[in-house]
Amino acid sequence: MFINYVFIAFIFGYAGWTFFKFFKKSKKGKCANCELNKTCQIQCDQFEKKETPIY
Amino acid sequence: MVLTDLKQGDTAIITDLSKVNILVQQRLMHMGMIEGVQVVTKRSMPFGGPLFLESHGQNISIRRNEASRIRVEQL
Amino acid sequence: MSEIALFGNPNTGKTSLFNHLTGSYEYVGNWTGVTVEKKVGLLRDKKNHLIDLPGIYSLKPLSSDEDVATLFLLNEKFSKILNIIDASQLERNLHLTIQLLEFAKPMIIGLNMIDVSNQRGIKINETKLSELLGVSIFPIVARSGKGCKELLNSLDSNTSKNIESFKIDYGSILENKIEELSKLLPSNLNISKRWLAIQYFEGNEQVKKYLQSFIPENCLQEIYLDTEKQLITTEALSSLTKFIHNKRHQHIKKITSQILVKTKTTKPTFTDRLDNIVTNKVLGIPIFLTLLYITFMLTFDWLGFPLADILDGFISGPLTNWIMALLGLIGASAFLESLVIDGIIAGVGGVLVFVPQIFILFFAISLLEDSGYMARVAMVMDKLMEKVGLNGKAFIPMIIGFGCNVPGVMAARTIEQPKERLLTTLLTPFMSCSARLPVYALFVGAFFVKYQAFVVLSLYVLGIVIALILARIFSSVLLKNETSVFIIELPPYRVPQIRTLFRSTWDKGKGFIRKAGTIIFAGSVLIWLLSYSGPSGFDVPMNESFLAMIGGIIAPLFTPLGFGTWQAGAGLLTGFLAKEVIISTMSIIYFVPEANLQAFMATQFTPLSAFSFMVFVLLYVPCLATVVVIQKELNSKKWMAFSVFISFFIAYVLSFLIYQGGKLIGF
Repeated sequence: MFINYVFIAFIFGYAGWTFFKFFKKSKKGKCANCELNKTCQIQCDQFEKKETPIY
Repeated sequence: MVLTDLKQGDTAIITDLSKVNILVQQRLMHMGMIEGVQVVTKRSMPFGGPLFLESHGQNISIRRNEASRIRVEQL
Repeated sequence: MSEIALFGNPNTGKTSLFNHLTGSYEYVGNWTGVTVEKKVGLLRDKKNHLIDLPGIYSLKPLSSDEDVATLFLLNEKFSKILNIIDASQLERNLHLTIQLLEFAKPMIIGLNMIDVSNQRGIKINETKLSELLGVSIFPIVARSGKGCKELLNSLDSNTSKNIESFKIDYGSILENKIEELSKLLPSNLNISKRWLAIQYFEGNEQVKKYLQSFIPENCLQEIYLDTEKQLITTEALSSLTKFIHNKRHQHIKKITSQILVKTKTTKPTFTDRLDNIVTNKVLGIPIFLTLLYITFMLTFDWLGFPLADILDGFISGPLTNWIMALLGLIGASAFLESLVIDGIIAGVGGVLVFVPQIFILFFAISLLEDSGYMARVAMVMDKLMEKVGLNGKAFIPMIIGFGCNVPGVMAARTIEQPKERLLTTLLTPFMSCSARLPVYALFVGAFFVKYQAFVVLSLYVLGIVIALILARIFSSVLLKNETSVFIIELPPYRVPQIRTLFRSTWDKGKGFIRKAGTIIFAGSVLIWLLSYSGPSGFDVPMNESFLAMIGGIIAPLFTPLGFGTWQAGAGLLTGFLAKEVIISTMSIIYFVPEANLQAFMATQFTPLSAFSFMVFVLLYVPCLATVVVIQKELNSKKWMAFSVFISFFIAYVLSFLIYQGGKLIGF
C-alpha cells in the first residue's frame, strides 16, 4: 500500500513542479526558452526596447 | 535606358540609383551593387513579378517597379 | 573566461563555423536571417565563449535582426572579434571587415569557402591580405570543418596584433569633422571614438541614439548637416552615407587589386542550371506547389500515417499491457492504476503517437532551409504577397510557422519594413503548426476516413487564405501609409549535408518530445484528476466530474458552432497551454475501455461539427508560447491582445458560418 502513495506523490509532485516551471518560463519569455540560457550571460531582452507603434 | 528595358540575359552597367527607394538603395549598396557595376538580367517572374539579377557572381531579386528606377547603359 | 563575437555577412557559413567551434547544436539554414538573435556557445577547448550574431552586410542596421549586432557592439563586453569572410564575395565582405577594424578591437579573420572561390576561378593571396589589413587570417571550409582547429587554437592565444593602426583616410573634410565629434565625447569611453563618429556620419541610427546620451541632439544634427553640406558642394555627391561607402570601396579596390588573381573565366554553375528550372517563368510556382504537396503527402499519407499507426498500436497494445502487469505486480490501488493508464498513458501517449509525422514535417522544412530554396520561394511568391500588401520575404516565416509558430514569428525580424514585419508577426500564427496536426488526425480518422488527406489539406489552405485576406485588409485599412519593398539575396544552392539535416530536424523536433515529458505530462495529470474527481468525491462518473463542470460553463458558447459539449469546451480551454493538450484532454475524456473511441466520438460530433471544430482549433488563439513571443517581438501588449482577439473572433465567425451554412444545405 505504501508504494502506492510513493508513486502517486511522485507523479503529482512532478506534475506540479512542471506547471510551476512552465508558467515561470512563459512569463520570462524567449530568454528562458532559449537552449543556451545556462551559458548565455547576456540579457537579450535589453535589445529592442522600442515599442511597435499602433498605427 | 532603365533596367527593365533589358532583355533576358542582357548585360549592362548601372549609371544611376538615386531614384530607387532608400531602403532598397542601401541594401543594393550593401550587396555591392552601386553605380559603375555590371549587372545581368537573368529572368523575370511571371505576372509582373520580381526580376532576377546577377552581379559579381551573386544573385539578387528586386521588384519590377524598383528596377524601372535604376538607370543603366547596355553593353 | 572571455567572450569572442562572431561577425559576418549573411550566408557566409557563420552558423556552420559556430557549430564546428563550439560543438553545440545550432540551427543552420541557407537563407538570410537564420540567426535572428545572438546565440552563445562554449568553445570546444572550454576556455572561451563564442557569440553568434545575426548575419549583417554593414554595421548600419536596416532591419531589426541587424540592430542586434550593432547594439551588441555598443553595449556588451567582449574581448575579440572573429570575422568570417566569404572568399567568393570578397569585396562585399570587406566592407563589414573595415567597419569592424575601425572598431579597434583585437580581430581574427576566418576566410571561408575557398573551395567555392577556387571553382569560380578566384585565387586569394592570404598572406598579403593579412599584411594589408593587419590581422591574422585563417583559411577554412566551415561546412566540412577544414581549418577550424587552427582557428580555434589562435582564438585562445593572446597574440593578436594591435589593430589600432588600421585607418582609412576619408579626406580632410570628413577627417576634421570626425576629430571635432570625437572631442565632444567623454574621455573614459571604452568604445573607439573614431568608430562612433564614422558610424554616426554614415547614418547609423543606433549609434545616433547612443551619442545622444552624451551630446545634445541639435548639436549632433548641426555637425552632421554641416559635414554633408561641405561634402556635397566639394565632392558633388548625393549623401554622406554614399560618400563614406565610396571611400571604403576605393580602399577595398586597392586591396583586392593586390591580392586577387583570376585564373579562368566562369562557366555556368550548378546554381545557375538549377535556377533555370526552379525559378522558371512558367514552372516556378507549380514546382513550389508540387514540393509543398509532396511534403504534405509524405507527412500525412504515404509515410506519416502508417508510422503513427504502428506507434499507436504499440502504445495502446504491448506498452499498456506491460505497464498494467507492472502495476499489478506492485499491487497498485485503483486510483494509481487509473492515474497511470487513463491519465498519463492516454494523455501523453495520445500525443507521442504523432512524433513520426512531426519529424517528417520538420525534416522537410530543414531541407528547404538548408538547400537555399527558401530565398527562391520568397522571390517566386513575391507577386502574390505584393497584392496583399506584404513582400515575398514574409513567406519564409509562414513556412517555418508550419513547423512551429514560435520560430516563425521570430523569423519575421528579417523583414526590413516595420509595417510588413508587424503584419507578418501577427499573421504567422494562422499557419497550422505541427501541434495542431494531432487534432486533425484524430478527427479525420473518426469522420473522414475516405478523404483524410483532402480534409487536412483544406485546413492548411484555409489558414493561408485567412492570413492573406487579413493581410490585405490590415494593409489597406490599418497601415496604409507605408510603401512595400522587396529585395532579397539568392544564395548559391548547397547540397544539404545529411548530418546537418538530421541535426536541425532533431533540434526542431526535440522540443515536441520535451513538451510531452513536461507540460503535456503535467496537463494530463491535472485533466485526469479533474475528470476523476467531482463534488461527490473520487471515481465519479465522468459527467459529474469537475472537468465536466468547468467545460460545461463555456460549452453553451460553442453550441451555435456545433460542438457545445463540455468535452469540447474542456479541450479548447486546456489547448491554450499547448495545442497538443487538446488531444491529451480528448484522449483522457474519451478513454472508455472496451469501447470504440471513434464510435464514441460519433455520438458527440457529426462530420459537420467535427469539421467546424477543426477549423476552430486551427484559428482560435495562438498557444501560450506564441503569444509570449508575439508580445516580446512587437514589445507591445496591445498588439498581443489584438492578435489573441482577432484570431478568436475569426475562428468563431468562420466556424459559425461553416456549421450553420452546412446545416442549411443539408449536411
